[in-house]
Amino acid sequence: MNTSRRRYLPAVLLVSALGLSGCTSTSNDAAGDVDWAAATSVETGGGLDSLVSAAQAEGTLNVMGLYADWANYGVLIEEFTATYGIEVDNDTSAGSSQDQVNAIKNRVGQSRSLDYLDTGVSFANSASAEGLLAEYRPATVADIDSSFTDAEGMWTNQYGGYVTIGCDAAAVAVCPTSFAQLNDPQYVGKVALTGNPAQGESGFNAVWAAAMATGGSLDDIQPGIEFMAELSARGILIPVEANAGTLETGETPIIINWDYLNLAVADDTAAAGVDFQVVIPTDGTMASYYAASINADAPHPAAARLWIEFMYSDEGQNILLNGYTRPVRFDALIQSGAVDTAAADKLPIVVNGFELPSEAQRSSANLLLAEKWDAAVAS
Amino acid sequence: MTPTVATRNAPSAPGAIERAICRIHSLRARAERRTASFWGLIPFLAFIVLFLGVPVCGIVLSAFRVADVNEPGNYVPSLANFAASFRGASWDAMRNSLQISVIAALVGGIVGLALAQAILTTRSRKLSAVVTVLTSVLANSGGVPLAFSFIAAVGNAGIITGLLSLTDRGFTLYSSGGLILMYQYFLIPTMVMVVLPTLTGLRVEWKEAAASVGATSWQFWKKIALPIASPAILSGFVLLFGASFATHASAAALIGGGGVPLISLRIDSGLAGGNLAGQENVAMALGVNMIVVALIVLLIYMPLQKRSLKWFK
Repeated sequence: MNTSRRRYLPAVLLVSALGLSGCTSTSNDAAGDVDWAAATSVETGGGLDSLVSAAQAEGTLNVMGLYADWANYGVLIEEFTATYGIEVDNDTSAGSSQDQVNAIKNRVGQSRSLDYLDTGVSFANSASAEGLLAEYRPATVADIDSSFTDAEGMWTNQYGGYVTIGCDAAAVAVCPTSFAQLNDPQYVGKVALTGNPAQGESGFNAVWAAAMATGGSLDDIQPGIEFMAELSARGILIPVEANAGTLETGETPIIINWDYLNLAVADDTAAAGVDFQVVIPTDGTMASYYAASINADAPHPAAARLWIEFMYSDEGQNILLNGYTRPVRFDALIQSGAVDTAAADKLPIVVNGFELPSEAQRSSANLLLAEKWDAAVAS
Repeated sequence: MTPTVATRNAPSAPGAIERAICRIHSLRARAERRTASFWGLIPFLAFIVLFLGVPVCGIVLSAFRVADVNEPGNYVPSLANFAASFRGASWDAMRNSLQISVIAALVGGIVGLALAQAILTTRSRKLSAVVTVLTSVLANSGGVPLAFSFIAAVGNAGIITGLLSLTDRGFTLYSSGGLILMYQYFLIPTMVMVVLPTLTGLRVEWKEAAASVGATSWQFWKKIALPIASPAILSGFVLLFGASFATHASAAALIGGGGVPLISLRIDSGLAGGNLAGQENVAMALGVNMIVVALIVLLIYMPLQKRSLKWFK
């Protein structure tokens, strides 16, 4: 996960705090006899009231790597604590998908193990195959298309984003809006990714989006590798890890990255005179969603489930939306009118539809990239 | 002939280094006599075991295990991780890392040596003192701030790049050459730090003695100074090699997007999981390979250092 700094809209705090404060103080009877660790939904556990009191009895929620500036997790955590009085112990010393999976593997039976995991879908699938996750579906699951959920209910996508081209209009004469336009001598030495595509989700999807733009498909990332290799050979794509700093100094005026990260960088650098415009490339659309899951060995099984319910509520989803991510219930929020329109309007417009890759497609694309990338862009 | 002359002409009062070494030796002798002082070592040994021994064992054990395909969550002993570490992109990274480290160490070694000699030639005690402090600070600089300074200075939009129109001359920071250049920032000071004491120990009287029997400056360096200083120079080189080889954070910030494969970046990608789950143990095997390289480096370094100290007893 990235850790670029963000400034936030404190107003959201107030609105959401008022919205959820009604649910807290209710009956406390029979909370003790429900085994929330076995509950696969809020109904099977005996309803929200019983979940809230069980979670409050546990008192704490253990999570890892939920950086305040990532998908607006800072506000989500504050709100959760303000609403239910449950402390969130957020270990931000590490936080990659692998770190979280390692933590629940290494801390089996310990009270300091994690309750909730926010990982890439591949990691959720492999953790699920190892029996590390608990089956649970949020109450609002009916709003979520089945392609965003695990068939066995071990994970559910909570938010995602699109691959975008961010471009400093103050530093570049004409901002490219497609991959095809990027391949132009005027962009020599100006384009960068935020990391190695063979390592990070962002770069990986950037290459895949380029593949979509150049005749590839979810089954074929090769054209994307070739396209990026050409950009690299022409000196357009440089291997530096782009960030707000390299954007501000003019080193990387064009950054291919997730919309929510590019938009956050735009906020960060606006004061320095950067006019960072973020568009979804017209010729290659690639989206990816993160997966929410619960540790099967969660030290606070009820708090973990309440956290999930909160995150998938209208309030929770709107908080994620304010972090420039696309909450998984975005369409439902729009239809019901519950959406925070000011936040929704800041997102780049989606021109084309998209399909999420299957696990098999992901891993074969990854394997190909891991072996070919470094040689393809070798200087 | 020359060494005898040199010894005879040596001043009766030993220099600072000799005194320091004598002190170390007498301290050591005293320590040996007092077995009780061994207990003072316990915290240090515990530290070594906990923070070096245990992790190394963990790395080695994991490197020899692979996930059981039939039973997820279980591991079986295997050499597959090592096989993978000597194949494809991982092997490219190892080769490239070795190559970059050797070149970086050679450049840093030669420049550092020349710089150290230049500092000595000024015969300024103040300068020597300042350099000693400065080099120990610079030798430990690195990480993302270092990479960012280089990006801002000699990156594509860098200040110096613009002033000297480096881009038109075909220079790019984002290449093996760029990495080698960036490494010099901490390699040259390291070299100065390592060879300065040795070069200081080459007494002026030796040179005068050589001159008195008709040796030219070149002959003095070839026949006397370099043979005495060569172990220190070589051990400096070995140290620089190790420092380049292990560099991670600054290299990642500079060329993390790919194109210049490095073993340290490869390990990072395997451990952090990247997009591919289940590569941790291949990363461990790469780590073991790095430890083996480091051990070889140490095996070369230790006897050299002993030899270089011998001349100043």
